[in-house]
Formats: sequence, C-alpha cells, structure tokens
Amino acid sequence: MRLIIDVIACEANGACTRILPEALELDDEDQLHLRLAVIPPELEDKAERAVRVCPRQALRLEPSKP
Amino acid sequence: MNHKGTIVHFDFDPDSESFAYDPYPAYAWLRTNAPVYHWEKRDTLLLSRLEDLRTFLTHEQLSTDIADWEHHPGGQLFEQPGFEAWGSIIATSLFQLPPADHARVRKLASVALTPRAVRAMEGAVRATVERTLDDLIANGDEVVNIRDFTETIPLTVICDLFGVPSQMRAGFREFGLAAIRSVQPNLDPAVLSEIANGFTQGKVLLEQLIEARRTDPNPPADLLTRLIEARDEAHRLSTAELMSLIFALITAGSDTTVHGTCYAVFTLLRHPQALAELQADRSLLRSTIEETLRWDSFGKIGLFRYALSDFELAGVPVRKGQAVSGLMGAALRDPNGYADPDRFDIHRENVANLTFGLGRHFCLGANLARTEMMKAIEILLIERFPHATLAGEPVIDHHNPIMRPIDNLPVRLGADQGKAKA
Ligand code: SF4
Repeated sequence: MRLIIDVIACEANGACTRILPEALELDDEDQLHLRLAVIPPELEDKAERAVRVCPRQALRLEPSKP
Repeated sequence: MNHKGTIVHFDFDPDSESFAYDPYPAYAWLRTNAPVYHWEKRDTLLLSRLEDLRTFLTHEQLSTDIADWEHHPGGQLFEQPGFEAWGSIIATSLFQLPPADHARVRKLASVALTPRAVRAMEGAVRATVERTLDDLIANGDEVVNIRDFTETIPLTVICDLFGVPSQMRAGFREFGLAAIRSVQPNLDPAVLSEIANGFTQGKVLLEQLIEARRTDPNPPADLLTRLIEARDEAHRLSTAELMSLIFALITAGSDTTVHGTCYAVFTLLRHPQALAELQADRSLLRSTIEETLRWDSFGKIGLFRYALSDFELAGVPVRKGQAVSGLMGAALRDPNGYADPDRFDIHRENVANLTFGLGRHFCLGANLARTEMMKAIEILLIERFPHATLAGEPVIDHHNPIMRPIDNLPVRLGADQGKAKA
C-alpha cells in the first residue's frame, strides 16, 4: 500500500506521526514527510489507524502501482 | 416527511433541567433504539453513534452554511436594523466559504496554531492562568466559583496574542456570545435584536482593531499583522474575509474552552483517585484532558448542518435542506468506540476524540484550547490547590440550546501551595 498526504489539508497536528513514526515525520517547519514509498504489510494496520486519527482527514491509503 | 424507522415515542427534551444534569440515559437509549432520531421540536435529525458522527462531520453533502438550510434563520436576523453590513462578512466565514477559498483563508491562520507554534505560547498561557487564579482568590473566599476562573482564560490568551486593548475585551466576549446564539432557528424578536446589537458593536470593534494596527508605525510581528499584510500587500484576503477570520479566531474558542475547562475540574474533583494519580505523574496530563472531554462533554445538540441533496444516512433518508446534528456526548460514550465507555479512565490511549470535529472544519484552535486546559488544570489542581474539593452541586444552564455550560461550580480550594518554583 501507498500512503498519500493531502498537503493542503495537513495542519501538522502530529497525530499520525505518533502512531506511524516509521513512515511519517514532521520537520522543524511543520512539513510532513513520507519516509517510505511503500507501506510494508506489517505496518498496514498502523497506517490505517493513522489515516483514521488524522483530525483533518489528510491521509489516505491506496494500493501501490504494480 | 416521514422518516421511516425513526419515529418512536420517547420523551426527548434536551431543554429540560434533568437532561442538562444527566443526559447519559437518554443518549444510551438513542444510540440503541433510534441512532437517527427525528427531533420534531426543531425538525432535526440527531445522530448518536460514534461512526455516524464521523460520517456527519466529514460528509460532502452536509453543509455548515446556514444559507443551505430550509429554515434559514438568517432572513430573520438580516431584517434587524443595522445588520445589513454583516451580510458580506458572514458570507466569508470559514463555515460559509466554498472549499477552495476555505483552504486558502484557513491556511493563513492554521500555520500560527500548529502544536509547534502553540508550544512557543506556553509561557504566556501559564502567566495568564496564574494571573487569573490570583484574581480569583484575591478576596480570600473559602469557596470559589470555578467558572469565574475559567471564564476569562481563553479570551485573555487570544486577545494578548492579537494585542487587543483591554477596554475592547468585554465587547468581544459579548460579540462571541451573540454569534453563538445566532446559529439557532426560530429565535424570538427580543433575542434577535440583542444578537443584531452584538454584531453591530462587534463590527465597530473589529474595524477599530484593524485600523489601529494598520496605522501602528512599529507593528508587532504577530498573527494579526500577518493577516492584515495578507490583505493589503499580497491580496490573499478580502476585507470581509479578514474581518470574519479575526472575529472567528477571537471568539470561537472563548466560550467552548471556558466550559471544557470547567467540566475538566468538575470531573476530576468527582474522581479523587484519578486526580491523585495525575498529581503524582504529570505525564498523564494530556490523556487526562482528552478523557475529561470524552467522559462528560459540555456539548449538547452541537452545530447544525444542512443537507445539500437527498441522500441516506445510516439507512435513513435525508431530504435536501434538512437540518442534521450530532450528539457529541452520546457518541463519546459509544461502546462501539470505547471499552467500558461509562468509566472515567485517564489511561486511555489514542482516544478518538471528536470534540474538536473532524476533517475540513476541524477546530482551528484545538492545539491552543488543549494547552489552555492543560495549564489551567496543572496550575489549579496540581501546583496550587491539590487539596481542592467540591463544595456543592454545580449549576448547569439548561436553557442553552447547544451546550450544557456550568454556570457555577462551587469549590473549596484549601491551602495554597504557592507558585511553582521555576
Ligand atoms: S495527523 Fe493529519 S494533519 Fe496531523 S500531521 Fe498527520 S496528516 Fe497532518
């Protein structure tokens, strides 16, 4: 799976980074960065939770392109 | 219109005194028996399950714009003398703007309210809380009303942030209260004229505030200056947008946070064991605040949204123009969202807290509100008055149509442990 960030909607609340620090990181300027191009299967559960807790609904999961 | 499956005989009266004091039996009944309940008195569909609240808050076909409502109260309000000038300003509020404009206007303010930005304000919030507490105990009363303590904290913090002169602050508080009352349908004429007055005076205050800052030879590099520059230089904001955004920032948090903090104190004093745990370990502060917001929500009916088309919600047909609202207090006790939901547990992790909304209209000031609540609890109940106890039952305002505000929370403070040594 791939994680997509809606950068307009994201307001750096950091709820997602607490759940999925393996893939998501906020820098000193409140920009959210994706550290993994593909979310490995063992992180998919956590990724789903990160999508769910984002107060701005700024994340979504999509199947990776073959 | 007949809402199939939602017509039930159930004595639902959210304006009653008993509901204000304990809405939870009614909420439990609704969640189980009528999760989409047609409240005839205001012709509104009320949702009570957590999942349905999530849908409600993020649904593309549910609008926060009162102009989309078939019982649009704006008409009444706009007939009030002196109110015409507000038309364009209200039309550009964050609840009314179309998505693209909404994103542009919101971004200008949201960058100043991220957790990182708010962390830099912690010292100022602490100073405000300390000062407010000193005022509260200045008379040496044994029993105080905690509402007097929570009442001014959020407004003072935001007015300090915006450099609002002290003589304008009471006016902004009135303005905010008028705005909250204005979103209700079927208001009587006396109330309408009070509301219109609040808005008219509020507009004057806003104009004075903006003009004073524009003519300031050395304007401070704060949010207000940046927003004014966004209009004057970068043309990223219209005058109406600037006014409605400043208005929203000053007033939006100045009521809700007052009640949230009051309930947090009440709930903690009802749970002395949890309070003792918190006093022993301040790292529990964040999860404690989240749990106080969940366990006893000051919300009642909440803010209405309006259907833009006919569609189905949780299996029930909604017609275009229909008002829909979410019972936050019911959703936050949904057993399908929380284990043992009626238990107050400050150790809950990642509480899915919808108190501040979700999605596009998620509370812009949520981080600041949380910080204010945390500082108020930390200073009042951990540092200064750890032996505080309830000195009677609270008085809850059951006439308020959208919230259950505590008007009086009598607390015996006990000995002052003094200001924390830095
Ligand atoms: S939780 Fe949402 S808004 Fe917050 S940093 Fe993550 S993506 Fe951005």
